[in-house]
Amino acid sequence: MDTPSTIRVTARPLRTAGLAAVLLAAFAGAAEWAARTEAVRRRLGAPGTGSANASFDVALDRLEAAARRGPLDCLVLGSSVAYWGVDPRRMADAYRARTGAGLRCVTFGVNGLTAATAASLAPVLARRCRPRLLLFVTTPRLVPLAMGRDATRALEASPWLASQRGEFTLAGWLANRSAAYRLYLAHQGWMRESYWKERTAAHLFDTMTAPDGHGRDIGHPAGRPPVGVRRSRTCPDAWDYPVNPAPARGLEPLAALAAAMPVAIVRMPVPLGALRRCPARKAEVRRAAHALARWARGAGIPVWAPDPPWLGPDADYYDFVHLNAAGAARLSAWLGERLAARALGSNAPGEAALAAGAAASAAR
Amino acid sequence: MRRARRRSRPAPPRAPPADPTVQVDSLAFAGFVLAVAAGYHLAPARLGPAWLLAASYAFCATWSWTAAATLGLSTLATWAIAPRVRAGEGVRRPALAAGVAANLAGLALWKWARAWDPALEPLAASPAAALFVPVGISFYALQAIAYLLDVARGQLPPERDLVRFALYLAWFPKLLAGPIERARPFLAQLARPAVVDDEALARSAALVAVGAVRKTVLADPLLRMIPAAVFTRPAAAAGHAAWLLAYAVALYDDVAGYTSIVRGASLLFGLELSPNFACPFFARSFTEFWNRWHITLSTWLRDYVYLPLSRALLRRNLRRRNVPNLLLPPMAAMLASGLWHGPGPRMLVWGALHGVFLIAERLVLLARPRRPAPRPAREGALAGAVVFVAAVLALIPFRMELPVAAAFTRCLATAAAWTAPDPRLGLVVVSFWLDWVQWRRGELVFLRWPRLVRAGLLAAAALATFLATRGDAGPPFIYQRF
Repeated sequence: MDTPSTIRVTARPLRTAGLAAVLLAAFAGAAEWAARTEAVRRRLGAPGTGSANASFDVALDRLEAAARRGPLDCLVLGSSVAYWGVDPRRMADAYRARTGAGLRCVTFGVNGLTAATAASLAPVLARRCRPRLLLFVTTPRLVPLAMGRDATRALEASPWLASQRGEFTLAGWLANRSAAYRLYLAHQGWMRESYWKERTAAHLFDTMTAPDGHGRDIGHPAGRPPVGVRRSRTCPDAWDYPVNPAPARGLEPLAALAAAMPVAIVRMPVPLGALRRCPARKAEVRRAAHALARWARGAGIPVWAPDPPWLGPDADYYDFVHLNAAGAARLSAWLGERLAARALGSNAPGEAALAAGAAASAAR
Repeated sequence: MRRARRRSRPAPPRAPPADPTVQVDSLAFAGFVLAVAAGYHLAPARLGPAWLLAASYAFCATWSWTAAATLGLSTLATWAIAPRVRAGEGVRRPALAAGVAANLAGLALWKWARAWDPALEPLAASPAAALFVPVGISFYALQAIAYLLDVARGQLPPERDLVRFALYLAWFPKLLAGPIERARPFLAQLARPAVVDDEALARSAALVAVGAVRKTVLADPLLRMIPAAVFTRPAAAAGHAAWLLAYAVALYDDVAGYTSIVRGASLLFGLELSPNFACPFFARSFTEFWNRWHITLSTWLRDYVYLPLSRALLRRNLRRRNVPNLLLPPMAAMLASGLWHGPGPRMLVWGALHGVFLIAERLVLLARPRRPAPRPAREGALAGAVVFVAAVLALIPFRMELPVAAAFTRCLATAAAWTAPDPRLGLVVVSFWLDWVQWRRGELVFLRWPRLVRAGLLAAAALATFLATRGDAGPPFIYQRF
């Protein structure tokens, strides 16, 4: 057949392309090897997930590192309230004091994470690190709308997360398999105007996050939650605490997960200082707590709700939401004791599993 | 009850509609080119041009089907008028005027009218009007006008084959942002069988690789890292000089990258498109700058604005120091260039600045002897630096509205404008290195390098392009907006 063109192509140009492919493979191999060394990891910071949320990336890094070191007894999942408020080391101390066994927990707290987004992450993280118990930390306070939306959007953009949820993309496939690509993802915004600010924030998170995922106050002003609010004395100014009208909305993935593994909800205490200044809000908080308890009962998930006189109304908080180091130590000790008490004598879903975990840890 | 429950359930969030447009630096474009090339090389000879034309209109329709219809109408009108511009005196002039006016009217309507008359803005911004925005009109309108003028001058016979003529205007790789091809060489290529051999394939790969690096690795990151405040609230920013340089290099790499990609793609069809950029930042005179920057637009302006005006003025006065001839042709050509780039006074100011540069250069040349001795290298480098700095400074009104441009210029006189540049501006150095190599050794010097080096460069280009396109989507090509 007479065609409009003449093709006189040999295999010669393909040889260069083939050689380029070989070089590319060699480079990828070298980069992968380097990315797995501690020196490169220290220099470049926590690997990324493409989420544009440094706190998520650092939390995942800590979780993966802990899971590599051995099986986890519990995963504490939540927002910045969990990040600052639950210290796995203190939990383990309290647990050991009661049971004589060790407890390996990791906190996975991400800034601005709404309860619904955290619940949607729960199955992914549980599959990834296989903890014996998932402690889902929530609060009656509504995460500010813009902050929650931003955090959710940032996570939805993560190819790593998309891949974990079963969607196939090249970026997701790479993010799940390649340490070099994960390191690149942490820096993929290198051309953005805000890059240096983002890197500073990521470095700060990396520095103040303990190996068990808990937030440490390193004295850096930008690293603390806002502290000025609690100084306010009057209710309208002080009440940075909008109550979530539907605290169980979007928690369905948690219910599905609870059918497969032990899950408990930790309803964080409402700062007494805030309630004292705004007594009118007590009813609102109570309604939210009841709604959550009702839903959890239906889903078969126990709710642990510390209502502690042992937390100082102001002294144990950074603000009306986040516990400081002293408050975190008290709450974490309470959680550890609670786990221990239940592990030693209860048949409730989460606690029975922990009892097995405690026995296993003691044997180790 | 069931109905009530259904109503109370919140509607699932609707995903934004997928963007059907095909950008030249996308994988979709690469796939489209390969598919069309395969079809072309397998098709019977007589169907080849028709296949390419169908593909070009399909490509245009991914942007807007009405754009394809507008392009078709413009093509039909120009093709029908062309034989008449060669007819007798009574028909020729009106036909030529009608053809040129029809093509200019499209440009005027879509590019300039709403800028000059704000009352048209709501009309033009309406969803209905958006359907009719003609894609690439700035480029194909100039091609159509050039074709009519060439035919009228007897430099080209009217093309009888409508398919080939339509392909000249619509050829998809150059549709969105040029180059502005001339009919004679393009139609001549369509008339002979295309040859794709090893050399064409290697050149195609090199051009595409260089273009992709320029666009995705150099231009896009540079454009993204420039703080928004620099060009909107200059007083609140710092490092103006470095960011302006970054913008100049990014603009150049953006358009040069586009041209390189589409030239490489066209080679797969045996079609050689005109080079559009040739290391303009190494020019040693303003005339040379315009022979290296957007070459096909510059030559269009030279052939259809500058030379006709100059000839008319010289007909009146043949002296070397013919003042109107010194002033008017360069200024008219540069103002036309400004108008082509966009409506509003800022583009006119940008064009006028270049007009002034060209006039000043001609005055300097006039003061020299007719056959000056060759310049020493140092003098040439100094001239090059002057041209470079002036061309970069002229981009201030190109990029900003005039009041902001004035504020930006004032900021350049402060110490804050000259603060240490962001280390990421090392990309500017990479761009200059690439240009330096091409300027010294030729555009495709890479093909003469040892195979291992070539393969290494290809691998590095592929990796850098892959990594640079992983993040947020890059901005579209700047010249697609013109």
